[in-house]
Amino acid sequence: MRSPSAVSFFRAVSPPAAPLIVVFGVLAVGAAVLEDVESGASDWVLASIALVQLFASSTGFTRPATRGHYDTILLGRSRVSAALAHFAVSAAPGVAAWIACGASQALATGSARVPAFLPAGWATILLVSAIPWAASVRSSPFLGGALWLLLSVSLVVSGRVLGPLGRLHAAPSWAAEHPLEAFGLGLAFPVAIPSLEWPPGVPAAFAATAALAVAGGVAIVARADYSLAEEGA
Amino acid sequence: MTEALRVSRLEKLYGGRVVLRDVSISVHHGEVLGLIGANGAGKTTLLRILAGFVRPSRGRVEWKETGSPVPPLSTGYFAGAPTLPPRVRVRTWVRLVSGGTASCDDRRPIASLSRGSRQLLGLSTLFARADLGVVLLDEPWEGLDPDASRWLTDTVARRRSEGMAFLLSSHRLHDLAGLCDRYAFLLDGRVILRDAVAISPSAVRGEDLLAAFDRIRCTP
Repeated sequence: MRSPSAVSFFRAVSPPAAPLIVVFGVLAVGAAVLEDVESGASDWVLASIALVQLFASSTGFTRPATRGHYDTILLGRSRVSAALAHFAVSAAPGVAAWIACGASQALATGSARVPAFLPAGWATILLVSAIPWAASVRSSPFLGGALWLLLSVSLVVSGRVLGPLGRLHAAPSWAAEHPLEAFGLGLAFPVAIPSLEWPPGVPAAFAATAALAVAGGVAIVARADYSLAEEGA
Repeated sequence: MTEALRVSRLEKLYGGRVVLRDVSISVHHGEVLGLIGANGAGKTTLLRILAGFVRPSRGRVEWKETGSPVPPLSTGYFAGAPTLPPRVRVRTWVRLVSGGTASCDDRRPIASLSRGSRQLLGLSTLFARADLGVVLLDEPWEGLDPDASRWLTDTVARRRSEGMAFLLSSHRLHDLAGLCDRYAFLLDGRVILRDAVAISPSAVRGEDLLAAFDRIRCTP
Protein backbone atom coordinates (compact mmCIF):
# COMPACT_ATOMS: atom_id res chain seq x y z
CA MET A 1 0.00 0.00 0.00
CA ARG A 2 1.24 3.49 -0.78
CA SER A 3 0.69 5.97 2.06
CA PRO A 4 -0.35 9.49 1.10
CA SER A 5 2.46 12.02 1.19
CA ALA A 6 2.05 14.76 3.77
CA VAL A 7 1.89 17.35 0.99
CA SER A 8 -0.92 15.59 -0.89
CA PHE A 9 -2.75 15.04 2.41
CA PHE A 10 -2.67 18.71 3.40
CA ARG A 11 -3.52 19.81 -0.16
CA ALA A 12 -6.70 17.79 0.13
CA VAL A 13 -7.57 18.35 3.78
CA SER A 14 -6.27 21.82 4.61
CA PRO A 15 -5.78 23.89 1.45
CA PRO A 16 -5.49 27.69 1.61
CA ALA A 17 -8.87 29.43 1.28
CA ALA A 18 -10.26 29.13 -2.27
CA PRO A 19 -11.14 32.86 -2.63
CA LEU A 20 -7.54 33.79 -1.85
CA ILE A 21 -6.29 31.37 -4.51
CA VAL A 22 -8.62 33.05 -7.00
CA VAL A 23 -7.21 36.45 -5.99
CA PHE A 24 -3.67 35.14 -6.56
CA GLY A 25 -4.73 33.93 -10.00
CA VAL A 26 -6.26 37.31 -10.87
CA LEU A 27 -3.11 39.13 -9.67
CA ALA A 28 -0.80 36.85 -11.67
CA VAL A 29 -2.88 37.29 -14.84
CA GLY A 30 -3.16 41.03 -14.18
CA ALA A 31 0.62 41.31 -13.87
CA ALA A 32 1.07 39.55 -17.21
CA VAL A 33 -1.42 41.90 -18.92
CA LEU A 34 0.14 45.02 -17.37
CA GLU A 35 3.65 43.95 -18.40
CA ASP A 36 2.39 43.32 -21.93
CA VAL A 37 1.03 46.88 -22.08
CA GLU A 38 4.03 48.55 -20.45
CA SER A 39 7.21 47.06 -19.05
CA GLY A 40 7.52 47.61 -15.29
CA ALA A 41 3.85 48.51 -14.86
CA SER A 42 3.17 45.54 -12.59
CA ASP A 43 5.62 46.32 -9.77
CA TRP A 44 2.76 47.20 -7.41
CA VAL A 45 1.26 43.72 -7.97
CA LEU A 46 4.07 42.24 -5.87
CA ALA A 47 2.90 44.31 -2.90
CA SER A 48 -0.65 43.02 -3.44
CA ILE A 49 0.54 39.41 -3.59
CA ALA A 50 2.53 39.94 -0.39
CA LEU A 51 -0.52 41.45 1.29
CA VAL A 52 -2.80 38.54 0.31
CA GLN A 53 -0.11 36.04 1.28
CA LEU A 54 -0.21 37.37 4.86
CA PHE A 55 -3.67 35.81 5.09
CA ALA A 56 -3.30 32.87 2.72
CA SER A 57 -0.44 31.34 4.69
CA SER A 58 -2.17 31.88 8.06
CA THR A 59 -3.86 28.50 7.87
CA GLY A 60 -3.63 27.27 11.48
CA PHE A 61 -2.56 23.76 12.52
CA THR A 62 -3.49 22.97 16.11
CA ARG A 63 -7.24 23.56 15.81
CA PRO A 64 -7.89 20.97 13.05
CA ALA A 65 -5.35 18.65 14.66
CA THR A 66 -7.25 18.68 17.96
CA ARG A 67 -10.44 17.88 16.06
CA GLY A 68 -8.75 14.75 14.75
CA HIS A 69 -8.67 15.94 11.12
CA TYR A 70 -4.92 15.29 10.87
CA ASP A 71 -4.91 11.95 12.73
CA THR A 72 -4.24 10.01 9.53
CA ILE A 73 -1.10 11.93 8.65
CA LEU A 74 0.26 12.33 12.20
CA LEU A 75 -0.08 8.66 13.18
CA GLY A 76 3.37 7.09 13.25
CA ARG A 77 4.93 9.86 11.17
CA SER A 78 7.46 12.58 11.77
CA ARG A 79 5.71 15.69 13.02
CA VAL A 80 8.54 17.80 11.65
CA SER A 81 7.87 16.52 8.12
CA ALA A 82 4.14 17.06 8.62
CA ALA A 83 4.70 20.65 9.79
CA LEU A 84 7.01 21.45 6.88
CA ALA A 85 4.52 19.96 4.43
CA HIS A 86 1.74 22.01 6.02
CA PHE A 87 3.84 25.18 5.63
CA ALA A 88 4.68 24.32 2.01
CA VAL A 89 1.00 23.77 1.13
CA SER A 90 -0.02 26.99 2.93
CA ALA A 91 2.61 29.08 1.16
CA ALA A 92 2.46 27.46 -2.30
CA PRO A 93 -0.31 29.53 -3.99
CA GLY A 94 1.26 32.85 -3.00
CA VAL A 95 4.73 31.73 -4.00
CA ALA A 96 3.37 30.49 -7.34
CA ALA A 97 1.69 33.86 -7.96
CA TRP A 98 4.94 35.63 -7.01
CA ILE A 99 6.95 33.54 -9.47
CA ALA A 100 4.33 34.05 -12.21
CA CYS A 101 4.42 37.81 -11.67
CA GLY A 102 8.22 37.80 -11.68
CA ALA A 103 8.25 35.71 -14.84
CA SER A 104 5.97 38.23 -16.57
CA GLN A 105 8.31 41.04 -15.54
CA ALA A 106 11.39 39.09 -16.67
CA LEU A 107 9.83 38.34 -20.06
CA ALA A 108 8.85 41.98 -20.55
CA THR A 109 12.29 43.35 -19.61
CA GLY A 110 14.32 40.52 -21.07
CA SER A 111 16.23 40.22 -17.81
CA ALA A 112 15.93 38.06 -14.70
CA ARG A 113 16.92 41.03 -12.52
CA VAL A 114 13.36 42.06 -11.72
CA PRO A 115 12.12 42.97 -8.20
CA ALA A 116 10.42 39.61 -7.63
CA PHE A 117 13.61 37.67 -8.29
CA LEU A 118 16.10 39.92 -6.49
CA PRO A 119 17.21 38.80 -3.00
CA ALA A 120 14.86 41.34 -1.40
CA GLY A 121 11.99 39.96 -3.45
CA TRP A 122 12.60 36.36 -2.40
CA ALA A 123 13.07 37.51 1.20
CA THR A 124 9.70 39.30 1.05
CA ILE A 125 7.69 36.30 -0.09
CA LEU A 126 9.52 34.13 2.47
CA LEU A 127 8.77 36.59 5.28
CA VAL A 128 5.09 37.06 4.47
CA SER A 129 4.69 33.29 4.14
CA ALA A 130 6.65 32.16 7.19
CA ILE A 131 5.75 34.57 9.97
CA PRO A 132 1.93 34.46 9.54
CA TRP A 133 2.07 30.66 9.20
CA ALA A 134 4.11 30.30 12.39
CA ALA A 135 1.97 32.84 14.25
CA SER A 136 -1.19 30.95 13.27
CA VAL A 137 -0.03 27.42 14.15
CA ARG A 138 -1.80 27.51 17.51
CA SER A 139 -4.54 29.98 16.63
CA SER A 140 -7.37 30.59 14.22
CA PRO A 141 -6.79 30.88 10.49
CA PHE A 142 -5.94 34.41 9.28
CA LEU A 143 -4.96 35.58 12.78
CA GLY A 144 -1.23 35.85 12.01
CA GLY A 145 -1.86 37.91 8.90
CA ALA A 146 -4.47 40.07 10.59
CA LEU A 147 -2.14 40.91 13.48
CA TRP A 148 0.74 41.81 11.17
CA LEU A 149 -1.50 43.98 9.01
CA LEU A 150 -2.87 45.68 12.11
CA LEU A 151 0.68 46.41 13.27
CA SER A 152 1.64 47.82 9.86
CA VAL A 153 -1.46 50.00 9.62
CA SER A 154 -1.00 51.24 13.19
CA LEU A 155 2.61 52.21 12.48
CA VAL A 156 1.62 53.97 9.25
CA VAL A 157 -1.16 55.87 10.99
CA SER A 158 1.19 56.86 13.81
CA GLY A 159 3.58 58.34 11.24
CA ARG A 160 6.52 56.15 12.30
CA VAL A 161 6.91 54.32 9.01
CA LEU A 162 6.22 56.63 6.11
CA GLY A 163 9.03 59.10 6.94
CA PRO A 164 11.80 56.51 7.10
CA LEU A 165 10.34 54.73 4.06
CA GLY A 166 10.53 58.00 2.11
CA ARG A 167 14.14 58.49 3.22
CA LEU A 168 15.01 54.95 2.17
CA HIS A 169 13.33 55.44 -1.19
CA ALA A 170 15.13 58.74 -1.83
CA ALA A 171 18.54 57.60 -0.57
CA PRO A 172 19.10 53.80 -0.65
CA SER A 173 22.45 54.32 1.11
CA TRP A 174 20.44 55.14 4.27
CA ALA A 175 19.83 51.40 4.76
CA ALA A 176 23.56 50.64 4.66
CA GLU A 177 24.19 53.34 7.28
CA HIS A 178 21.30 52.24 9.48
CA PRO A 179 20.92 48.48 8.88
CA LEU A 180 19.01 47.77 12.09
CA GLU A 181 16.49 50.51 11.48
CA ALA A 182 16.14 49.37 7.86
CA PHE A 183 15.55 45.80 9.04
CA GLY A 184 12.87 46.94 11.48
CA LEU A 185 11.29 49.08 8.78
CA GLY A 186 11.09 46.08 6.45
CA LEU A 187 9.45 43.95 9.15
CA ALA A 188 6.99 46.73 9.98
CA PHE A 189 5.98 47.22 6.35
CA PRO A 190 6.95 44.09 4.42
CA VAL A 191 4.88 44.82 1.31
CA ALA A 192 7.27 47.71 0.54
CA ILE A 193 10.43 45.58 0.62
CA PRO A 194 10.55 44.59 -3.09
CA SER A 195 10.20 48.17 -4.29
CA LEU A 196 13.22 49.41 -2.32
CA GLU A 197 16.97 48.95 -2.65
CA TRP A 198 18.71 47.14 0.18
CA PRO A 199 22.33 46.47 1.12
CA PRO A 200 23.12 42.73 0.81
CA GLY A 201 22.94 41.94 4.53
CA VAL A 202 19.36 43.11 5.08
CA PRO A 203 17.57 40.68 2.71
CA ALA A 204 19.69 37.91 4.26
CA ALA A 205 18.45 39.01 7.70
CA PHE A 206 14.85 38.93 6.43
CA ALA A 207 15.40 35.40 5.09
CA ALA A 208 16.99 34.30 8.38
CA THR A 209 14.03 35.74 10.28
CA ALA A 210 11.65 33.78 8.04
CA ALA A 211 13.66 30.59 8.61
CA LEU A 212 13.55 31.16 12.38
CA ALA A 213 9.79 31.65 12.21
CA VAL A 214 9.34 28.37 10.32
CA ALA A 215 11.60 26.60 12.83
CA GLY A 216 9.51 28.00 15.67
CA GLY A 217 6.26 26.87 14.04
CA VAL A 218 7.67 23.41 13.40
CA ALA A 219 8.80 23.17 17.03
CA ILE A 220 5.29 24.08 18.22
CA VAL A 221 3.76 21.39 15.99
CA ALA A 222 6.32 18.82 17.12
CA ARG A 223 5.87 19.44 20.85
CA ALA A 224 2.11 19.91 21.05
CA ASP A 225 -0.38 17.47 22.55
CA TYR A 226 -3.29 16.70 20.25
CA SER A 227 -6.05 15.71 22.64
CA LEU A 228 -9.46 15.72 21.02
CA ALA A 229 -11.05 19.12 21.57
CA GLU A 230 -13.44 18.01 24.32
CA GLU A 231 -10.74 16.17 26.28
CA GLY A 232 -8.83 17.85 29.07
CA ALA A 233 -10.89 21.01 28.66
CA MET B 1 0.42 -14.66 20.53
CA THR B 2 3.17 -12.08 20.03
CA GLU B 3 3.00 -8.82 21.88
CA ALA B 4 2.29 -5.77 19.70
CA LEU B 5 2.22 -3.08 22.33
CA ARG B 6 3.04 -2.72 26.02
CA VAL B 7 2.04 0.12 28.33
CA SER B 8 3.73 0.41 31.72
CA ARG B 9 2.64 2.53 34.68
CA LEU B 10 1.12 5.20 32.49
CA GLU B 11 -0.10 8.41 34.06
CA LYS B 12 -1.73 11.46 32.49
CA LEU B 13 -2.61 14.71 34.20
CA TYR B 14 -4.50 17.62 32.65
CA GLY B 15 -3.58 20.58 34.80
CA GLY B 16 -3.86 19.11 38.28
CA ARG B 17 -6.53 16.56 37.32
CA VAL B 18 -5.42 12.93 37.10
CA VAL B 19 -7.03 11.28 34.08
CA LEU B 20 -4.99 8.08 33.98
CA ARG B 21 -2.98 6.58 36.82
CA ASP B 22 -0.68 3.58 36.90
CA VAL B 23 -2.15 2.08 33.72
CA SER B 24 -0.35 -1.08 32.56
CA ILE B 25 -1.71 -3.14 29.67
CA SER B 26 -0.43 -5.09 26.71
CA VAL B 27 -2.06 -5.89 23.38
CA HIS B 28 -1.20 -9.00 21.39
CA HIS B 29 -1.53 -9.91 17.73
CA GLY B 30 -4.59 -12.05 17.13
CA GLU B 31 -6.38 -10.52 20.11
CA VAL B 32 -9.22 -8.07 20.70
CA LEU B 33 -8.95 -6.07 23.92
CA GLY B 34 -12.11 -4.20 24.91
CA LEU B 35 -11.83 -0.95 26.82
CA ILE B 36 -14.82 -0.16 29.05
CA GLY B 37 -15.39 2.84 31.27
CA ALA B 38 -17.73 5.67 32.15
CA ASN B 39 -17.75 9.00 30.30
CA GLY B 40 -14.59 10.91 31.16
CA ALA B 41 -12.85 7.78 32.46
CA GLY B 42 -9.89 8.40 30.13
CA LYS B 43 -10.56 5.92 27.32
CA THR B 44 -10.04 8.43 24.52
CA THR B 45 -6.99 9.89 26.25
CA LEU B 46 -5.46 6.41 26.59
CA LEU B 47 -6.04 5.64 22.91
CA ARG B 48 -4.55 8.99 21.84
CA ILE B 49 -1.50 8.41 24.01
CA LEU B 50 -1.03 5.00 22.37
CA ALA B 51 -1.41 6.61 18.93
CA GLY B 52 1.31 9.14 19.84
CA PHE B 53 -0.93 12.23 19.67
CA VAL B 54 -0.71 12.93 23.40
CA ARG B 55 2.33 12.56 25.63
CA PRO B 56 1.91 10.76 28.95
CA SER B 57 2.85 12.63 32.11
CA ARG B 58 4.62 9.51 33.39
CA GLY B 59 5.10 5.91 32.32
CA ARG B 60 6.07 4.23 29.12
CA VAL B 61 4.47 3.10 25.87
CA GLU B 62 6.43 0.62 23.79
CA TRP B 63 5.36 -0.49 20.33
CA LYS B 64 7.23 -3.71 19.66
CA GLU B 65 7.67 -3.05 15.94
CA THR B 66 9.38 0.32 16.44
CA GLY B 67 10.78 -0.28 19.93
CA SER B 68 9.59 3.20 20.87
CA PRO B 69 6.42 5.14 21.83
CA VAL B 70 5.95 5.96 18.12
CA PRO B 71 3.44 3.57 16.55
CA PRO B 72 4.45 1.80 13.34
CA LEU B 73 2.92 2.96 10.05
CA SER B 74 0.91 -0.26 10.02
CA THR B 75 -1.19 1.08 12.91
CA GLY B 76 -4.79 2.06 12.25
CA TYR B 77 -6.68 4.54 14.40
CA PHE B 78 -10.17 5.97 14.10
CA ALA B 79 -11.82 8.16 16.72
CA GLY B 80 -15.22 8.56 15.12
CA ALA B 81 -17.17 10.52 12.52
CA PRO B 82 -16.41 14.01 13.96
CA THR B 83 -12.68 13.49 13.30
CA LEU B 84 -13.18 13.25 9.52
CA PRO B 85 -12.37 16.57 7.81
CA PRO B 86 -15.80 17.89 6.79
CA ARG B 87 -14.91 19.75 3.59
CA VAL B 88 -12.99 16.93 1.94
CA ARG B 89 -14.85 15.01 -0.76
CA VAL B 90 -15.67 11.40 -0.01
CA ARG B 91 -13.74 10.03 -2.98
CA THR B 92 -10.66 12.09 -2.06
CA TRP B 93 -10.75 10.74 1.50
CA VAL B 94 -11.11 7.16 0.30
CA ARG B 95 -8.13 7.59 -2.01
CA LEU B 96 -6.00 9.26 0.68
CA VAL B 97 -6.65 6.85 3.55
CA SER B 98 -6.82 3.60 1.64
CA GLY B 99 -3.58 4.47 -0.13
CA GLY B 100 -5.17 3.83 -3.50
CA THR B 101 -6.42 0.32 -2.68
CA ALA B 102 -10.04 1.50 -2.66
CA SER B 103 -11.92 3.91 -4.89
CA CYS B 104 -15.27 5.63 -4.86
CA ASP B 105 -17.12 8.03 -7.17
CA ASP B 106 -18.94 9.99 -4.46
CA ARG B 107 -18.07 13.68 -4.97
CA ARG B 108 -20.03 14.95 -1.96
CA PRO B 109 -18.16 16.63 0.90
CA ILE B 110 -17.96 14.45 4.01
CA ALA B 111 -20.02 17.01 5.96
CA SER B 112 -23.06 16.26 3.77
CA LEU B 113 -23.18 12.61 4.92
CA SER B 114 -25.23 11.43 7.88
CA ARG B 115 -23.32 10.64 11.06
CA GLY B 116 -23.69 6.91 10.53
CA SER B 117 -22.49 7.18 6.94
CA ARG B 118 -19.46 9.20 8.04
CA GLN B 119 -18.70 6.59 10.71
CA LEU B 120 -18.96 3.82 8.15
CA LEU B 121 -16.78 5.79 5.72
CA GLY B 122 -14.06 6.19 8.34
CA LEU B 123 -14.11 2.52 9.28
CA SER B 124 -14.39 1.09 5.76
CA THR B 125 -11.52 3.22 4.41
CA LEU B 126 -9.41 2.18 7.40
CA PHE B 127 -10.10 -1.51 6.83
CA ALA B 128 -9.41 -1.11 3.10
CA ARG B 129 -5.75 -0.74 4.03
CA ALA B 130 -3.82 -3.92 3.38
CA ASP B 131 -0.96 -3.19 5.77
CA LEU B 132 -2.80 -3.01 9.11
CA GLY B 133 -1.12 -4.67 12.10
CA VAL B 134 -2.70 -3.03 15.13
CA VAL B 135 -6.00 -1.13 15.13
CA LEU B 136 -7.17 1.32 17.79
CA LEU B 137 -10.87 2.19 17.57
CA ASP B 138 -12.70 4.70 19.77
CA GLU B 139 -16.47 4.05 19.95
CA PRO B 140 -16.50 2.33 16.54
CA TRP B 141 -20.18 1.23 16.66
CA GLU B 142 -21.40 4.76 17.38
CA GLY B 143 -24.06 5.77 14.83
CA LEU B 144 -23.89 2.56 12.79
CA ASP B 145 -27.12 0.91 11.65
CA PRO B 146 -27.67 -2.82 12.36
CA ASP B 147 -26.17 -3.98 9.06
CA ALA B 148 -23.09 -1.79 9.45
CA SER B 149 -22.72 -2.89 13.10
CA ARG B 150 -22.76 -6.52 12.01
CA TRP B 151 -20.25 -5.77 9.24
CA LEU B 152 -17.91 -4.15 11.77
CA THR B 153 -18.18 -7.02 14.25
CA ASP B 154 -17.58 -9.60 11.50
CA THR B 155 -14.64 -7.61 10.09
CA VAL B 156 -12.95 -7.31 13.49
CA ALA B 157 -13.40 -11.04 14.14
CA ARG B 158 -12.07 -11.98 10.70
CA ARG B 159 -9.05 -9.65 10.84
CA ARG B 160 -8.25 -10.91 14.35
CA SER B 161 -8.12 -14.45 13.02
CA GLU B 162 -5.62 -13.15 10.44
CA GLY B 163 -3.37 -11.95 13.29
CA MET B 164 -4.40 -8.33 13.66
CA ALA B 165 -4.44 -6.79 17.15
CA PHE B 166 -7.38 -4.62 18.27
CA LEU B 167 -7.96 -2.24 21.13
CA LEU B 168 -11.62 -1.18 21.07
CA SER B 169 -13.23 1.37 23.32
CA SER B 170 -17.02 1.27 23.46
CA HIS B 171 -20.04 1.97 25.65
CA ARG B 172 -22.02 -0.56 23.63
CA LEU B 173 -21.37 -3.57 25.84
CA HIS B 174 -23.52 -5.93 23.79
CA ASP B 175 -21.28 -5.22 20.78
CA LEU B 176 -18.07 -5.77 22.73
CA ALA B 177 -19.45 -8.91 24.40
CA GLY B 178 -18.51 -12.09 22.63
CA LEU B 179 -15.98 -10.31 20.44
CA CYS B 180 -13.21 -9.48 22.91
CA ASP B 181 -10.65 -11.89 24.34
CA ARG B 182 -9.93 -9.63 27.28
CA TYR B 183 -11.56 -6.59 28.81
CA ALA B 184 -9.89 -3.56 30.40
CA PHE B 185 -12.21 -1.69 32.79
CA LEU B 186 -11.17 1.94 33.34
CA LEU B 187 -12.24 3.20 36.73
CA ASP B 188 -10.99 6.42 38.35
CA GLY B 189 -8.09 6.44 35.90
CA ARG B 190 -7.00 2.89 36.78
CA VAL B 191 -7.29 -0.18 34.59
CA ILE B 192 -8.60 -3.52 35.85
CA LEU B 193 -8.07 -6.36 33.38
CA ARG B 194 -10.33 -9.39 33.08
CA ASP B 195 -10.12 -12.35 30.70
CA ALA B 196 -13.35 -13.15 28.88
CA VAL B 197 -13.33 -16.59 30.50
CA ALA B 198 -13.10 -15.07 33.96
CA ILE B 199 -16.21 -12.97 33.28
CA SER B 200 -18.20 -15.87 31.91
CA PRO B 201 -17.04 -19.44 31.18
CA SER B 202 -19.41 -19.53 28.21
CA ALA B 203 -19.94 -16.75 25.67
CA VAL B 204 -19.80 -13.31 27.33
CA ARG B 205 -23.04 -11.33 27.03
CA GLY B 206 -23.60 -7.61 27.56
CA GLU B 207 -25.26 -8.35 30.93
CA ASP B 208 -22.13 -10.23 32.04
CA LEU B 209 -19.96 -7.22 31.24
CA LEU B 210 -22.29 -4.88 33.10
CA ALA B 211 -22.28 -7.21 36.13
CA ALA B 212 -18.48 -7.44 36.00
CA PHE B 213 -18.22 -3.64 35.80
CA ASP B 214 -20.56 -3.31 38.81
CA ARG B 215 -18.52 -5.83 40.81
CA ILE B 216 -15.31 -3.93 40.06
CA ARG B 217 -16.92 -0.60 41.00
CA CYS B 218 -18.15 -2.01 44.31
CA THR B 219 -14.81 -3.55 45.22
CA PRO B 220 -12.90 -1.24 47.56
